[in-house]
Amino acid sequence: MDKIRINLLPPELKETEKKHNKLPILNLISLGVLVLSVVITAGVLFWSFYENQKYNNTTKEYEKLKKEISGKQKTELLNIFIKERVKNIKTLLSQDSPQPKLLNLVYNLAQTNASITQIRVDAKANLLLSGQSPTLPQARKFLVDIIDPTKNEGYFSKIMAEKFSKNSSGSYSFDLSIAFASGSAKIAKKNK
Amino acid sequence: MNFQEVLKNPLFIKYKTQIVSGLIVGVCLCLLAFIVVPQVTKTLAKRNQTGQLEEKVLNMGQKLSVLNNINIEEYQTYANTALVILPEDKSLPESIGYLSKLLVANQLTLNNISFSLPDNSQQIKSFTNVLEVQGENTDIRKFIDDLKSAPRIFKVKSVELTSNNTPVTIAEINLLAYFNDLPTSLGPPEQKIDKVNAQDIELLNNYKNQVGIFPEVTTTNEVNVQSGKSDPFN
Repeated sequence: MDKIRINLLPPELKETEKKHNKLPILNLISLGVLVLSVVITAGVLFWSFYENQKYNNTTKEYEKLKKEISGKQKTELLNIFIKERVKNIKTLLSQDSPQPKLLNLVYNLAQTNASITQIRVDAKANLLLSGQSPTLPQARKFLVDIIDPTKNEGYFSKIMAEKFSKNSSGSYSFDLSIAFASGSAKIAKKNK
Repeated sequence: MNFQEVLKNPLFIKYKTQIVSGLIVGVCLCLLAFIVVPQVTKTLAKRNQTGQLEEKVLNMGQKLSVLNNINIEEYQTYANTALVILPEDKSLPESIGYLSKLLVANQLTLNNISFSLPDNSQQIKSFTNVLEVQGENTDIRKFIDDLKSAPRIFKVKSVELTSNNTPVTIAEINLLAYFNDLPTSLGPPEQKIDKVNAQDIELLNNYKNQVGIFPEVTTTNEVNVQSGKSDPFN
């Protein structure tokens, strides 16, 4: 014969029991979250403390080194001074002053063909020269040489004869105005 | 209503699990908001500062090691050499001295010498020495060439030679002489130091060796002092 099962308990009790079963899980989760939060907070605080300590130690070391370096101020100044001077000396030595070269060049070109009575090389290395030659072929030779780029080494970009005359003594006088070829002009000329 | 009463309150009893969980979540949120987040931000910034400071300390350590290896006496000699080549001021007596020696060596007569005001527009300052000399043309040109071997750096700015068919040539030579102020300040202590290298020393020594009339540097008890000049660092 079949047994008959009858649940006489009120249905609310079953619902409450279900709720009671779920509640410890919620509490456990909450507790877990709390523990996790506390652990994270503790970790962060420890990390913060460690970083602070590290910062303080580095600062101490920085101050110590700063003091030691300031004690070597004279040595540092000497080093900076020498370094800067050498740099400036190098700069000055690298700046070419063409005036002496041009002067020698003109006198070398003149040699026996002409005597230079006056020569001026200005700050831009442009030349003004006055000279004389005993004969016309010698004067011509000097003028041809001075305008020849192979002989003037490409230093002159423009040569103007401002005066050419025969003196009472039979010699020939001339005044020349010579423009200095700056770097690019000189190179261009050499390439040709 | 005290705490005991709250605990016995039927509403509390009914919802105590939710209330406790809520409180726990609240505490967690407070921890995160008021401790974890600010501390993490602060610590990250501190960590960054420490990193920068460590880099400075590293540079300073290297700098200190370089400075400790510098021989002050040797460097003082280099500084004196550099001061002769490129003085700190116009140094007219020295300038006249070098030029006079070169003029005498080339058998030239100095008729007049004058000096312009300094040109302070450039980093390396300069002034013009105007020399009026007379002598043989070749000697004048040799003098101009020999200026390269003067202890101080001179550059020919302009030159005018007049001979008028006589053996004596009169010349007006404009020479630029240079000078440069001393450094007055140091960089921050952590700034890397660019030590004087072998090339720098070679340049100074070569210059000194190629010049025959380089002035002797006198030595006092403590500091080497260039003749006629004050020690730039004392």
